[in-house]
Amino acid sequence: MVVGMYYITLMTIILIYAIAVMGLNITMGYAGQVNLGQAAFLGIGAFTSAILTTKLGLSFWVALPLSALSAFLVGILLGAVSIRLRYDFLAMTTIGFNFITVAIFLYYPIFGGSFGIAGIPRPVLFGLKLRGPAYLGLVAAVFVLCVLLNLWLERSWLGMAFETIREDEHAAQAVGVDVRKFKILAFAIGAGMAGLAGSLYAHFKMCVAYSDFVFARSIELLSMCVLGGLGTIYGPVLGSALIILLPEVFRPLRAYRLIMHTAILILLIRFQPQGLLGRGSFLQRKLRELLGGLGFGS
Amino acid sequence: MDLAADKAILRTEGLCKYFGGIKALDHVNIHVRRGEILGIIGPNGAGKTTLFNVVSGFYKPTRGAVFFMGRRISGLHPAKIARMGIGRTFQVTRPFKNLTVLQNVMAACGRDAYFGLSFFRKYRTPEVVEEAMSIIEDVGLADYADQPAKVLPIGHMRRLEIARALALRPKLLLLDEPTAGMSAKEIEEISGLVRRLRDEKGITIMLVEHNMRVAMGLSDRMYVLNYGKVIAEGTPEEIRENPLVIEAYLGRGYAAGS
Repeated sequence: MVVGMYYITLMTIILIYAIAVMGLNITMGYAGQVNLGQAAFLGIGAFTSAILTTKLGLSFWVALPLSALSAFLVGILLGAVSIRLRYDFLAMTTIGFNFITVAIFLYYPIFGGSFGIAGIPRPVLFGLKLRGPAYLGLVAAVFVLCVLLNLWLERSWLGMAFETIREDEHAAQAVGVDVRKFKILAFAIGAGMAGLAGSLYAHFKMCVAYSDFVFARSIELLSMCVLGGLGTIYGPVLGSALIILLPEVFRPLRAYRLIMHTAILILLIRFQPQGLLGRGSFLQRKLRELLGGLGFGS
Repeated sequence: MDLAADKAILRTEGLCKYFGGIKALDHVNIHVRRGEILGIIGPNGAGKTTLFNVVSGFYKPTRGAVFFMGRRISGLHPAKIARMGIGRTFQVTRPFKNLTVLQNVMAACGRDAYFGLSFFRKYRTPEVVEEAMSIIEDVGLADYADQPAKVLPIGHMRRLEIARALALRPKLLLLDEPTAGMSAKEIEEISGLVRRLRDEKGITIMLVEHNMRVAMGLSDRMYVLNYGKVIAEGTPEEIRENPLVIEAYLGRGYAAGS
């Protein structure tokens, strides 16, 4: 039973991360906009949910969509700022955004300072408190919802617009894509998903503090995104699972987590910039041959 | 303004574009008549590509205005101008490298979907695929439809850019050196394609061309730019005889001697 709980906890964490990474994947993988501050959106979602449920007494079911909305709105702001920026400047800006957000969490008493907010209630459904497998079920449901959203995105003009911006902004404009509008949307949608994940995170841990959403967490999310494969449906969940499971399987790796993430990023950027299983990557080609093109790639 | 300018699909008025102290365009007044192939020639750095970038909205003019079908378009966003019916290609090709040829062309079929809120609709519908495929066949890339654009040789990439611009259903097509870096045979084919677009689809074409023989052979009328100014206008025959043009290209000595 204890072992069972351990796996349920692990899977819950993986799926929560996968949702945030899926958001990052929309901003970075599809639309090609570097975002090194995704943890800030996770934090905005988590604190929105924590404040709404502990201080205003709202139900989780109201707080969850509002968390996504608040992150979405801040995403619009960051997107608007990023319109004129590209590559390294955009990277710097999003890092700065992460630090500023964390500073705000620390500074304003409403976020509970360095202790954060505790006593976040578990969601209640039909009079039952959701915990363990039931909470995993809830997280899985939100995850599936996000996968469906991602699938729809891939097939819509919105997704097409994102890909044209990633490929070439000038050419995108020449085919009628208003780059400003779609960059803002890419940040906002990616942020909104992180907001959802943040809310699920808060009600899972039942306490949140600024330290959960620092820049190092953004790097962790980035490693997951790049490892899994940029611009793919399966990438985020694969990357999250790998990065969370590796230190679990090899306990001694734990202390060297940041080194591991950095090493993974550097190696991937050097040898497989599209990600381990990204489009046209070595592994994806091999898998395609093996599976006869079933279910992989776009 | 001459009478012909009244029938113009595109017109510029005192168009200036300065980069610091450099006058890339200096009070340029040109017009493009509906249904013609208009050539823009001039030595390197004369302002030809700048003119295209201002017309298509990529640069804002320092002074002056551009009118397209009677509407002032200078100052509008390039995406808006594209949707109004001005397609363009780039001097250095800019395909969406990781998308297939078909996706590249389909991307431009979304010209209307990208505006407003209809972008949530599915893009890969049979109608869109059909429209894109027929354009791809027109430019002779049917065999490459499912290849990623990055594997195409340069000549095919230029065709792809033309196809992509055509998917906007443009009324005016701006071609920036469509034959640069091509073999004699490819140049022949592209010239044929440009002529067909005008004759069969009625698309007005404005073209920057370095290859003088191609430019003279294709154009109904030409403008010559030098140091950001229009120094001559006329039919290819008139341009060939114009002493100012000879001077701009070959230097004063040649002009005096001829």
